[in-house]
Amino acid sequence: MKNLFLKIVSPDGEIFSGEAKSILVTTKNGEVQILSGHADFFAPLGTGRAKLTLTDGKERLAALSGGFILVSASETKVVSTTFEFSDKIDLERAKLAKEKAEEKLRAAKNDRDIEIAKAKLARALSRIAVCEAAK
Amino acid sequence: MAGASMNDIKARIKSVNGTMQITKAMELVATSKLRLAKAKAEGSKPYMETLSEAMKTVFSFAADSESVFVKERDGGTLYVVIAGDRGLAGGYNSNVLKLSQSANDKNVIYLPIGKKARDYMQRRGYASLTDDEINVSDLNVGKCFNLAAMICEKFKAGEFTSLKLVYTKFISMLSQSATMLDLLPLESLSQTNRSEPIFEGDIDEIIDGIVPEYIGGILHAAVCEAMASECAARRTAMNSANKNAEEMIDSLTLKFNRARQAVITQEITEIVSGAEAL
Repeated sequence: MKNLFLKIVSPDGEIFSGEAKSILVTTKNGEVQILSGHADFFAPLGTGRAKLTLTDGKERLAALSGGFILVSASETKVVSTTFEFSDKIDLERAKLAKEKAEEKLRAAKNDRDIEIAKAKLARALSRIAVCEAAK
Repeated sequence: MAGASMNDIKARIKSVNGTMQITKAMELVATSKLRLAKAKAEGSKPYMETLSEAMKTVFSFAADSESVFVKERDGGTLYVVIAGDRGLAGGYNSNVLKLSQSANDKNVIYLPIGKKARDYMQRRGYASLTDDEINVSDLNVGKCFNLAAMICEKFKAGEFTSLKLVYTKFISMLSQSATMLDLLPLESLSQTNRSEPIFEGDIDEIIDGIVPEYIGGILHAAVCEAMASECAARRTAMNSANKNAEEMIDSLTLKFNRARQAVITQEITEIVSGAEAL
């Protein structure tokens, strides 16, 4: 089966560039898996996991949030605000962030605070989930 | 008389030496900071390039979108100006601040980033978007995105209807140039002949959701580049300050030696003429 040419970037730099079998990302509406030959596609990304299947069949899990995915015939681009492979995630920090977000959620007074705390909690939870799934 | 001028020259040499020590230290600091900042600026480049490229593709299908980010409206302009927190960086601050003044639109609001930009706008009594003090050195990714979200909200509310970004582009270690980017409203590009991709969701909603992230990404990359430019500009400025100080010390030392020689010659002449008189 043909491979797809994939590029993943985040503000920290280029995270992946090269051939891969498939990429699964979490969009705002749920998970989507892209294989080579996919129709041109565009979707904003949500918060959740990503799964990259390399050409040798190995799988790498990652946590992502924000940004978008753009699929065209020549290349698939994942432009994400945060994108961390499981081995790069700081589990302790994520756990700490989760506790802090929960605290903030309890203390939140207006809708805006609640929304921010919820987004933080979702990011922390997805990091923890990815870390545990990769073990 | 000669003795007094000798002391003057000595004092000047000492003070130039003191200045040179400071500029030398600053050059070393700027060099090591530059290495970090350059790596960061280069790291953010692929993101910015891929982001702009991908956004262009999306916007080319959004020409007739109803989103506020695409439509041209009458109103003010917000200039986001990124300068440094500190001076002594050659023309770095003044170049970027001058450029921010070049457009003489009416109805202008500023969002100064960096202490130098803030002081400049305050001194001239320009309207500022927030009273918060935003320094370049503590703008990380998260803060850039928060800032972008705030800007986009105010843009939606109609506080201003176009957005420009003024920052210093990092071209190389020796060359940086102040640049102005038009960010909003989004340029509605003419339809390309590429086939339209499948959009997950309504295109207007997608654009509304993605624009704050786009602005945040650009802002972050611009801040990284501006920081690298500042360090590079400071290093160059301090390097030439060092050279100037060295030249000054050389010419002062020459003057000092001449004055000393003159004193000795005078003394000999006095002794000789004294001996002759006996």
